[in-house]
Amino acid sequence: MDLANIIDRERCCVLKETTKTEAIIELVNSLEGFNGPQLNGGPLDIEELRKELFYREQLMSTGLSLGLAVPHVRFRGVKSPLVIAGIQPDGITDYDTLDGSEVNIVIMIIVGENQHKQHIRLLSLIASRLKDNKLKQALLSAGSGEEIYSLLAGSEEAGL
Amino acid sequence: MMDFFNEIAGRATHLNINMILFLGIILFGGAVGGRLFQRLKVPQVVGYIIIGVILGQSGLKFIGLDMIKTLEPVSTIALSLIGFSIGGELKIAELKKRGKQFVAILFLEALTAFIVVAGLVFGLVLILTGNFNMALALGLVLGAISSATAPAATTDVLWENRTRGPLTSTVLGIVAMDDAVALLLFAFSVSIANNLLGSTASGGAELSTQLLSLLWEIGGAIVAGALISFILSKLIKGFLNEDRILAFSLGAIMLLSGLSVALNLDMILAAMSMGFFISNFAPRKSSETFSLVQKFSPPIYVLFFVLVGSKLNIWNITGFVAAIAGVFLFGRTFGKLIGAKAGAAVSKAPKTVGKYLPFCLLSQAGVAIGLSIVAGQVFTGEFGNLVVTVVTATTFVVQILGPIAVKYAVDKAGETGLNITEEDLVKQSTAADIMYSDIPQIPVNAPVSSILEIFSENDVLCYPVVYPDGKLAGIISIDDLKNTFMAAELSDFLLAHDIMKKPVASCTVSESAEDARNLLKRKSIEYLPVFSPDAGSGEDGNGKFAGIIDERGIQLFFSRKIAELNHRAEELG
Repeated sequence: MDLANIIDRERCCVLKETTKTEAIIELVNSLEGFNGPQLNGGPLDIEELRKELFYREQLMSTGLSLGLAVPHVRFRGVKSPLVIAGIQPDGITDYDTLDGSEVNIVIMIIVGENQHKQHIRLLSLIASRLKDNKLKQALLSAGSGEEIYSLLAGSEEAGL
Repeated sequence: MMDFFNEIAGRATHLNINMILFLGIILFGGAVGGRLFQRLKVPQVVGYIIIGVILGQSGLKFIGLDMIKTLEPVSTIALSLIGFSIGGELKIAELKKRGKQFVAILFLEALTAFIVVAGLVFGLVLILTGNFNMALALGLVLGAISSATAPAATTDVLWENRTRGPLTSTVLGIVAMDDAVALLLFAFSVSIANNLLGSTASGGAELSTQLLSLLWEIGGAIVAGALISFILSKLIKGFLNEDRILAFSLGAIMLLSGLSVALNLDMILAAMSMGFFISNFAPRKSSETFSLVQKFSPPIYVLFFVLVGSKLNIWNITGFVAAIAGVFLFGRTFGKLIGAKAGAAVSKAPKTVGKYLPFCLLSQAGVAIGLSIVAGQVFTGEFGNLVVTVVTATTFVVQILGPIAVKYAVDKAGETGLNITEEDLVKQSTAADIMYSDIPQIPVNAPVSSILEIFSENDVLCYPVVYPDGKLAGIISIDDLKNTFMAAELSDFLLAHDIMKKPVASCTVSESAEDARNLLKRKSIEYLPVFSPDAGSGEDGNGKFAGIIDERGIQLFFSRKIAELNHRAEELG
């Protein structure tokens, strides 16, 4: 899986919001007007996407451990995986993670409705990649979306 | 009323009704009649025959005598197909198991009927006419005819009801061999009757000559059948193409029955012999042959039975004829009853055989009428006509009542529906029958770790995922679960919601199993959720979730069901 093509460069950012709900909304809203090759026909139905993401959060929080959260959804609006990332150096305290830690890195994964394998592979890939503390520290100190993108996409080449 | 019908029938014959239109009317009318009677829980055969009676000699005369004669070949083909199928059901293993039983019952039921009918008819005619010789001759001839049992209508009921068990085997064995006994008794009776009446009639040959020709008729038939079956089994050995097997098989059957007619062999017996040899000595290829021939046969049977009905003329009956016919029916039924019961008791047959076999021996048709016509030719004049009329009248009654009695007997003996193939089962079952109905349901927020538990503790390969309100959210199959193995570290984090699939099709509980199975195949999907159309649940148009169908579940259901039916058939004895 080539993360460089999956992650959308322009929609990686340093988050303004500091609560779980607001942070997720901020990321979703950034997809307004998105027209990447991942789309399945028309523009993304942002409202629907938000609903699906929050339904999943309601079932169980997508906060993993060590500051990482991966809100994810299989969505009929896309045909190939789309990943965007937001960093919150101040921490999101209400995310409800497995280890109770606050969340600094939110990586949102959207895959096509029938991309069952890619979905799980991508989740697994991102979870294992972000076990790397050096990468995590670098992400936290990143000042721009561009920098975040390079770190996430480039980490593959670095063999991380 | 009758004038009105005659008028119509008269006009109909003036219309240029061609053969195809004619066959179409008979076939269509017969099929409609059969269906109507089936609805009334009466065997379809009765419906065919009654349509024949209405269209034929007793009713509208739409089917005239010349037409019946023209269509004679249909009857010949139908009887050979019936014979072929009966022969195919006589398995050597079964004969070894029940051989003694067959022989004991066969001789006792045939002989008892012969003796009782002969005695009663003799007594009645003696009282009514005072003519000793005529009374004895009539008694003997009718007694001999009374021993015959028609295979056609009887086996038709057995096949319609997919019966299996000791009663079915015994009936098949007996109707298969019954003709030979009837022919023997008839030859014996005719030669005595000839002496009694001092007849100089043309057919009045010596007993020894008659026995010789009988030997030819019976022995030749068996040999001819064996020979043709040998050739056919060699020919179809390498065939895979169904159409070609069907063509060769039908060709062989017609060849055999045509030869039998030409060589004066017993045609039904020849066909039985062919069926018997081919099913016992080329079993693998022949099961295909039999199922093909049986699929092909129904329209011919419909024509045949309609023609049987159309031949009967119920208006020829006078008081004298009715009295003899009544005695014949009573004596025959009583004789068969006592004889079959005695035979069953002597041969220690299973209880159901002794109890219900008599009900299965009532039918008479072709052979009885055929023998009466032979008698009519041997004894020209009043005596011959009397035999023909009496047998026609009694045949009418037993043709209608016989199949109904057979149905009653096999139902009571518990043999109905036991001879079922997977194909039949698919046709009879509904989606509700073949679905998994009480399998565990996975809550939409269950983590993979607990889903794994469900899979390991149960024997099914797909499970429903449900919302808290019980509605179906999706389905998880073993494949979906397998996908999560590459993310084992996430097994507490991934939920049913993340790995389930939304079903692409669904069906309702009342849909037929066949449709459900076809849906699986057509959409090449692994499973199908089933819903019960329960009002007030689901704005999505679906009712309440009821279960899941998958191919493995269907197979399990069928093999379990067939094993159960086999077990039940074996328990019967």
